Amino acid sequence: MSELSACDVWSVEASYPSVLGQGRPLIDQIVAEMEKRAWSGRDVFAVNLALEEAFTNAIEHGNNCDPRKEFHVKCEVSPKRVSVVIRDEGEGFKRESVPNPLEEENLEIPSGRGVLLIFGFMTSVTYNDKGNEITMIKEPSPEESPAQDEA
Amino acid sequence: MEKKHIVVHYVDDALVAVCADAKLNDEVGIQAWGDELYGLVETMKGDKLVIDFSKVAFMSSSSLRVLITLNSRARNKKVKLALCGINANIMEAFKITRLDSLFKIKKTEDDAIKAL
Repeated sequence: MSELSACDVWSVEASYPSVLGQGRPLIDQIVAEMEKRAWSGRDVFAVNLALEEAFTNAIEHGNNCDPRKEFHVKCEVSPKRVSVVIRDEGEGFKRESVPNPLEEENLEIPSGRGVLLIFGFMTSVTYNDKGNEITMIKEPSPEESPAQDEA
Repeated sequence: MEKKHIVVHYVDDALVAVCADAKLNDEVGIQAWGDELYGLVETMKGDKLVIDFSKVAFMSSSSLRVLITLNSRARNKKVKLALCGINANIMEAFKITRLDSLFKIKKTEDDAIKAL
């Protein structure tokens, strides 16, 4: 693995047709760039999962799996920060329009957990006013609070 | 030959399904994995089922969706379900989504079987 200075930043911009799995090589590349910059396994998992969920949302819910529509990704990876902006061509998403899967009565509804995972695993998450562009930021998790195995 | 997404064995009267994929993130693969699990619930003889995730390093919300559906199908068939071998990162996903309260989750296969 090559040595990287603290100011080393890798960035990419790309567009993909709305077909599930299309963006996976980019996710793999982002994961590899994080690993090169010595991000912890926990944080790499977090970004990997958030990317999977956000790409799926853009394709399925934003662009209704219409391969003529694209989703656009802009990403920067540095040793201390990962930022990802994903924009689809849909009408926009309002989080309050989706039943909260954390409510007791919704716990067994299969859908709606992707957004929860994005918010849970990333440091900050914002949408544009229209709701068709998500910005996700990840900063390194504190070392003293690793995820613990549960019995 | 069609790929098997689970490998099953019995421990006494409990059926243990070991998930074979390291990554559960591909929609087609997740669907096939889910179909294999749903099939088990429909055809199994006993009433104890353990799903072992010790080989799984990554799973997305689509696979959580399969588990929620599996849980409800198992309940309908009066099959008792437990999960085991879930790594710390995936466990965090269960906690964020509160699914840790929906499922019986144990560290080891033995503990999961005992819990049923």
